[in-house]
Amino acid sequence: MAIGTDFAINSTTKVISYTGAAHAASGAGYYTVLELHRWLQDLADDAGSSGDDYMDISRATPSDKQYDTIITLVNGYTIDAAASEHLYAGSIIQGSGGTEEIFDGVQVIAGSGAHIQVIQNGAVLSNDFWNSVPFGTGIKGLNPDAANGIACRFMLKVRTAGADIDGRRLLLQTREFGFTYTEFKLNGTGRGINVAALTYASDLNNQTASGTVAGWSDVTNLNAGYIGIDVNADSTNEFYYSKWDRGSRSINQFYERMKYLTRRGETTTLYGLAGHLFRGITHEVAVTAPRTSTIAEGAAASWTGGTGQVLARDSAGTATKLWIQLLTGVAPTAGQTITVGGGSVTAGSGTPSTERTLSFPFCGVSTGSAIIGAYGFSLEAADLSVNDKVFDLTNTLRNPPNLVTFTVSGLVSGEDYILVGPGSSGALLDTQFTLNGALTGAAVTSVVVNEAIPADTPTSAGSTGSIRIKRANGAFSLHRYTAYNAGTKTFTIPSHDFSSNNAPNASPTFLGYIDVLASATTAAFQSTYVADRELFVRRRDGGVTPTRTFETAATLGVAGGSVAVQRLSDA
Amino acid sequence: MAISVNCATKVVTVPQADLTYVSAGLYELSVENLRLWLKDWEDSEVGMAMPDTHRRNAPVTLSGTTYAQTLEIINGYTITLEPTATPWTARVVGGNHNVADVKTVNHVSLLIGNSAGLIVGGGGGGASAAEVWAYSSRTLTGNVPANIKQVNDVTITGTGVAGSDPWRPA
Repeated sequence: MAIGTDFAINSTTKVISYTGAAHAASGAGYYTVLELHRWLQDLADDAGSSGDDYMDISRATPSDKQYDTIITLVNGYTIDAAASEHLYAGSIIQGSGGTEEIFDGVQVIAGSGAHIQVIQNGAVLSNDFWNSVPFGTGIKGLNPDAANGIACRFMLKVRTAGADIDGRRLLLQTREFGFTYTEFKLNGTGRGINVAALTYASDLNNQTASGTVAGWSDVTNLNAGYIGIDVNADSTNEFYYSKWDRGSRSINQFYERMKYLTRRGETTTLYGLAGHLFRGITHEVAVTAPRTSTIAEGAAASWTGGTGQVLARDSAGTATKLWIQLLTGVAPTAGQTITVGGGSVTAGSGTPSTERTLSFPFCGVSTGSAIIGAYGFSLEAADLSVNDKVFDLTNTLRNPPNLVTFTVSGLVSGEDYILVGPGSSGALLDTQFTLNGALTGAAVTSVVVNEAIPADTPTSAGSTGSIRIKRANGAFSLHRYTAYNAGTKTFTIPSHDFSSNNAPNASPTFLGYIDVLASATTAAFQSTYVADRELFVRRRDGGVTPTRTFETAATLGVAGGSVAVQRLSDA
Repeated sequence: MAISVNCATKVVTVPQADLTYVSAGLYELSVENLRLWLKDWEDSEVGMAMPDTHRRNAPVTLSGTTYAQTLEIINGYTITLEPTATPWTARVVGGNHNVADVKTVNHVSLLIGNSAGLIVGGGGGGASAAEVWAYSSRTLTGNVPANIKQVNDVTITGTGVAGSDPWRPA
């Protein structure tokens, strides 16, 4: 179709409008800006106008070409919005001063058929004409060039009424469920063709039907904001901006759920933002006094030259750090007042804003069996495993411990007493520790030992573990310790009277990893794997139907361990 | 007072009261009872942290005869039969054992009762003295085939044909 049949020039308004078929309809025409210019120039040297193209030698020159990709409409000629949707491969500049408008060309490098979302001025553009399916192709994307990896080409208005729209910033992203998520920032488009490189490939870790993932509502964010989590189990919290509970879902299913919550078209909010707009923390901003009121999380923030959303702050009343998602403009600069809801803080001195690297999707990437988390993103510690990696708000990598389970099976509830203790050469190592000081008090709650408490010691004995302390009468008394401090080598035990049968200094002491009368057919303990540990397993039943003692050595390895006990009658 | 174990010394104390009274100064210690007591202690909270007290071989039946169990006190445990003001004797029954080897020396005497062919009687343990004593008064009620060669050290001659060639001494 010739361009002249698809465009018309209004003699009064000098508006060049598109009159051809609509997008996706048969005959819809698309032309480069150079073709438009050539056509206009061709008309402009005609002796007289014809048809609906009011242009000839007697009229003012309609366009000027600086480069093949930069066309300036002059002397009052303009294109309308519809016409701009049918031009590509360059920029159109029209008007001047307070009426100046600029349409800049965008060329997307991505897999064929990619659905591209464009975010401009903090909002997803609802008129995404570039995702139209050209008649007869069956593939999304206007003006594609598959041979050169170009998914689509189009123009977008970036300046209107003499002012740039959000500094001519555009954010292009792909968020098709089942495919990789990516984004590309155009931080101020230039005249001509602006290239955005995106990926649009099948995500092998995101193959569950979206309708299925939609029902995984047991995945919840327990804390949308600043939260301490001890991911690496070192008894010290690290801080994150989320604490997700993956419920009954696997880590990869959790990943899929995160993609679902931020997929194209998702309007359910995260931190106050529609899911398809949520990207995660883009900037960490140091703030200081003066402050007013308190700073809310999940609230909109604004300052001169930009807006954002506060995803976390380290304190409501005396915040020193804000973690924001930048929505428009640029990040706060030194001394700027940042208004958040009814409160405000002041950006710190120097360079208060630190840009943080985003992940796509916002939670990080999945390996299929583990997650490599995005900056500041975390699940609750119990939902992470050794192969997961998360980065706290200081951008420090945190590795969850390798929690392993040792299970004893084949037990008879109520009859078998099971003891799993430290082993040495196939025997019970009852000298794992020695007491540092005699225990003689009537209400002892602390037990200090001389040896280092191994890092694989369960954090508490619970109702099935113990610490055994050799008393003056030679018996090892059982205490279900509630905590321990590796630094001070101290176990905390329920108050116990050692005054009448004390435990002398240097008395042997050992851990009972399992030390209980079985209440089920299995008994287990969980600890952090550090290195292989030899265990000693003893099972006894001296009841009405006695059995022979079962003893064996076992190993707590990198994958935990297990023992199936034997029960030989001793009747 | 029940049987007790001193974890420090590994001494198993057996009270006289836990034994069966036989006669003045004589009490019976059942091997079966002793080992059940020990097993009960072994699976207690205290006992679980201690090594096994004994090794046992259960009664075994061979050709219709049930041979008695054996009980071996091991791992350094010793047995103390409760000394009382009056010396007394403990007779161990119901199995072979090594109690004599691990018994604390005191004024309690021990009748060991071990036997290479010790068998189990009706009660599941070895025959008591009273049972053995009663064997002599039992009556044989069936026919017992016998090939008699001598009577009062005199060799019997004849073919033993009833009437014509009765058995007779040479």
